[in-house]
This record gives sequence, C-alpha cells and structure tokens, in this order.
Amino acid sequence: MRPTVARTELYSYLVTRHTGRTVRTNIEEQLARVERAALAVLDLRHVPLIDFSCADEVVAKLVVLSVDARPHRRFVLFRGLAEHHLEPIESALTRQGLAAAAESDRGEPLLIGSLEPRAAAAWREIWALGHVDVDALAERLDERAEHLLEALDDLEARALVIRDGDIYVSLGRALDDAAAEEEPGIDRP
Amino acid sequence: MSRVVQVPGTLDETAFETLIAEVRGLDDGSRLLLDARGVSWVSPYGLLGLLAVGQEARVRTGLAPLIEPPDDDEVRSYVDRMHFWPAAAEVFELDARPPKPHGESDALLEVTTIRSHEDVHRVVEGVREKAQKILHNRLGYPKPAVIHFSVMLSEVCQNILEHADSIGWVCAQRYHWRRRLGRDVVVLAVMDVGVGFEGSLATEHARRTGESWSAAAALEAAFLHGESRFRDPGRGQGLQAIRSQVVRWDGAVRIRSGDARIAHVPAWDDVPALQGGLAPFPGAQVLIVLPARQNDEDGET
Repeated sequence: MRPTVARTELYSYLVTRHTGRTVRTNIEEQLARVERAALAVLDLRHVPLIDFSCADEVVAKLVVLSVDARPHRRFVLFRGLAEHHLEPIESALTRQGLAAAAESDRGEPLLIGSLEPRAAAAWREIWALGHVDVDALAERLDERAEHLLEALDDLEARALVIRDGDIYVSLGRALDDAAAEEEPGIDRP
Repeated sequence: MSRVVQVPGTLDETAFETLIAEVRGLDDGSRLLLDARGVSWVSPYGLLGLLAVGQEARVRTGLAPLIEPPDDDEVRSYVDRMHFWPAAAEVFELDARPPKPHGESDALLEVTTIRSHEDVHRVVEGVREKAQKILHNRLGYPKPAVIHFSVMLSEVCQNILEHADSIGWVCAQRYHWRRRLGRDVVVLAVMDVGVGFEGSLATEHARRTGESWSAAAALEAAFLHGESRFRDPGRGQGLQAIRSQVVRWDGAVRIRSGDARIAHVPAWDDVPALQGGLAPFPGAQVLIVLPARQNDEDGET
C-alpha cells in the first residue's frame, strides 16, 4: 500500500483554537479529495510557537481522524518539530491517550504521546529499518514474533505504521518512497 | 443621578475589591463616576480593574460611566504609557479625546482589549521582543522561557474568547517587589466581565454536584482538574498548562470569579489557596506573578 502524500508547510504562529481549526480543516479538505490511502505531512519547521489549544485542534484531532478514517486509510507525520513544540503537542495527545509519529528539526524520529512500551520499541525499530516483517523485527528486538503481533496491530490501528501485506513500513520510509517516485533519479536502499 | 466612587490611592487587588463593594448597589439610571484623582500607585491588575468595574456599571445601568484621571503627574504619565485611555474610551464617557499613546513604553504589554482571535495573535506575536528583554535579560529566565510565556499569554487570553462570551483586557508590567520578595517580578493581569467560571461550567457540571455548585467549585473544577464546559476531551488544557508553567517558575497565579478566588500559592506568598464569600463580580480576573530567577535556580524552563 503506497499512500498518496499531501504536504503542508506551516509558517505562522499556531495560536488559538480558531487558527488550529482553520489549519486542520484545510488539511482535512486536502485529504478528502484523495480516494485512496493518504499520508499527510505537516512541516512545523517555520512555526515560531504552538499553544496547547492549537496543538489540540491540529495535532490531536488529525491523529483522531487518522485512527478513525474509513474506507481509505489516513496517516499523519509531523516534521520539523523543535524542542518548544513538544510540550503542547505531547500534552494534547497524552490527555486523550493518543500517539503521533514525528521527526525533529534535526531529523530524529519522535514518537509523541501515549503508547505501550513494546509497541513504542517496535515503532522505533521499524522507523530505523524503514520496512520489516514480523520475524525480522522479533529477531532485532529479541522477542517472540507472537508476542509482537499485538503491538504491531496496535501500531497499525493507530496509523503509526503502514502495513503492506506482511511488511510494516514506517511513515518516514513511505514519505521517502513517494519522494523517490516524484524524482525517479533517486535510488532508495 | 450620579454615584461617585473614590478610587483608593493604591490601585491594586485590594482596591479592586473595594471598588466592587462600592458599585454593588448600582441600578438602572444611576451613573457611576470613578474618581481616580487621588491615585498614587497603579498595578496592572488595578488598571484593568477600572475597566472591568466601568464595563459592569455600563451593563448594569445602561449608562457609560465617567472617570476622573489621576492628578499625580507620574501616575498620569504611567497610565498614558500603558495605553489605558484607548481601551477606556470604549467603556467610559471621556471628557476629552484619549491622549495618543506614547511610542515605545517600558511595559511588557500595554493594556489591550481582547475581543477576537486576531487580538490574541496580535498580543502573542507582538510581545516577543519585550519578553526577551524583560524575562531573559532582566529577570534571568532562560531564552526558551520567552516562548513559554507567549504560550501562557495565548492561553490566558483565549480563556476570554472561549469562556467569557464578552470582551476582556490584558496587560503586563515589570516591577521591583522590594518588601514582599526583594526581587523584580513580571505581573500579568487579564480580566473580563463575562459569564465567569460558575456560569461557563454550569451546564456540564452543576447537575452532578447539585446544590454544592458554586463559583468556588467551578474554579476548583477548572483550575485543579482541567474540566471545561465542552464535552470535547481536548478542552480544559489551557488553565492546566498555565498552572504548571507558573509552578515551574515559582510564580503565583490567582483567579477570581463570581464570589470566589483560587490560587497557586508559592512559598513566598501568603494568600489562601481557595477563598469564597467575596463580593460577587461577573467574569474572571486573573493575576500572574513571575519572580526573577535567583542564582541558585538552574536554567530549567
């Protein structure tokens, strides 16, 4: 399953619920036009600050949308997150038991919010590898495959990884693959 | 018929309580005149208190109240520099056109009326440079504190839009609190005269608590437990975030609403954490005090 990528670069101060609703509605409209699986990528690199209300309207509500999306899957990846973005986003997600996949402004993977430790460890490994099947992942994590399945189901249900047959793909890899398709000269390992 | 109320010489939190008690009996057709000629010292909370009391009098009597400005040149100049008069012109009937605001003032944030999300954006986006000068350069806060302060400002101003159903005002100033703390502080005041916490949360919470529902119960629900009038589980974070940040900075926060006040009380302060039985007043009145960092405090944000 290769999702269509919908990119949004944000530049303004993300403060007030009103602003958050406007940003989210635009993204939802963008996604509503995609009649297949879609990956929304929100770049916050140029956002000077985000408050708690806006984090709830943009981040938490988009994560809820991705978890509930039917019939087409929706995934969300937040990029360019600076240290000062983290507390409002973490708070908005944790308050509702949600989790989001993200990348810091230094390109490090970030799993923000609430997630059971085994699922979190699996997510990090999938991100590091890009794509992996359950047996290889179990070996890497020194776990029994059957113990990992529940965690992987959870990650898939929360739209934190993409399942393509027996393979689990990180949202970062899905984004790289989409970029490679847009620029065919780039080889991916 | 006019009702003349003398504004206490020291216009602070205590003076606000005095003013509330004085204007309590105002009714239709009696016009309020706030006589501030004898004012010799003003805090941000006191300044906004004049607007809140004036607005309430206007709503209750249907007549724009009057105000006599302070006689003292220094106080007068401070009130001008805080851009009080443009906000006052929307509340009071002023004899003269409000003086043009001076250019750059030394205030962290001049008196600003909040009536829309655009106002909140303007306040938050405009405060950065001064917050950097005052919080970081003067009060010794680490640089990221400027962002945390802006977030706090955004949330406290949004409280007006989301819960008051009315206009409100915000302002902030740096002081030296020699007697109480021996340090510089930033004082942030935010006020409205809207529905208040008790009214805002009533639909969702009053049924559950029945006869024990009160302004104090509403303040506890919102300030301590993050409850909100909305069923949306994402709501109610703003006040919690403000409280956590103030605690981290060893600051104080007090919220007055209806006939009650709730506070986070740091070791250096001595107000009650929860107080009921105050003179009833609509809306919410918030006071936040952020003290200068001391040498033994680390760079924690």
